[in-house]
Amino acid sequence: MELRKRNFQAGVVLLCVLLMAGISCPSGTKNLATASDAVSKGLVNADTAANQAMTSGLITEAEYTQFHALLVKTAQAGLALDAGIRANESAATLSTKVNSFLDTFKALSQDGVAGIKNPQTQLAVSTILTGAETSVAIIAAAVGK
Amino acid sequence: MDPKTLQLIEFAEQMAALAVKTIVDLKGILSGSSTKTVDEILADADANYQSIIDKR
Repeated sequence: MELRKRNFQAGVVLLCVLLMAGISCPSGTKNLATASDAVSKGLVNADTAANQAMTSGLITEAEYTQFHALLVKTAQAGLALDAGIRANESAATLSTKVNSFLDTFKALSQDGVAGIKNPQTQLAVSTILTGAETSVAIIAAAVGK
Repeated sequence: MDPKTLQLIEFAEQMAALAVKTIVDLKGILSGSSTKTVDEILADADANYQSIIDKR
C-alpha cells in the first residue's frame, strides 16, 4: 500500500515536471505569472530611478527618452507574454513570446543602461535590473534557455 | 557643501530608498502569490507594464 502511494506520488511529480516542460502545469503557469509580475515591478522601479535622475539633472531628457523607449518595448513584450500565459497557449507559441520578451529585456539591460552616461544613475538602474534578472531566469527556464 | 555634491547625495538617498522598495515589492509579490490566482497575478503585472507604456 505504502509503495503504491509512493509510486503514485512519484508519478504525480513526474507528470508535473513533464507538463511544466510544456508550460501547462498549473504551478508552472503560476511561476511564470509571478516571475512576470516581479519583472514588471522591477521595470517600474527602473523607470522611476531614471526619471528621478532626469528630474535631478543627472541625465539628459534624451538619455531618459532612449531608456524609456526600450522599457516600453519590454513592457509591450511583457503584456504579450502575460496574454499567452493567461490563454494557456501551447509551448511553441508561448516560447516565441518568451524569446521576444528575453530579447527586449536584454536590449534594455545592455543598450539601455549603456545609453545612460551618469555613473550613479547607471549603477542604480543596473542594480534594479539585475534584481529583476532572477525572475527573467525563471521565464527563460520555461523555454529551456 | 557645493550644490553638485548635495545633489548627488540626495540622488543616492532616493536610489537607496528605491532599492529597499524594490526588495519589499519583490517580497510582497512572492509571499502574496501563494494566495492569489494566476489571473490576479497577471492583472498586477499587466497594470505595471501598462503604466510604463502610458508614461509620457
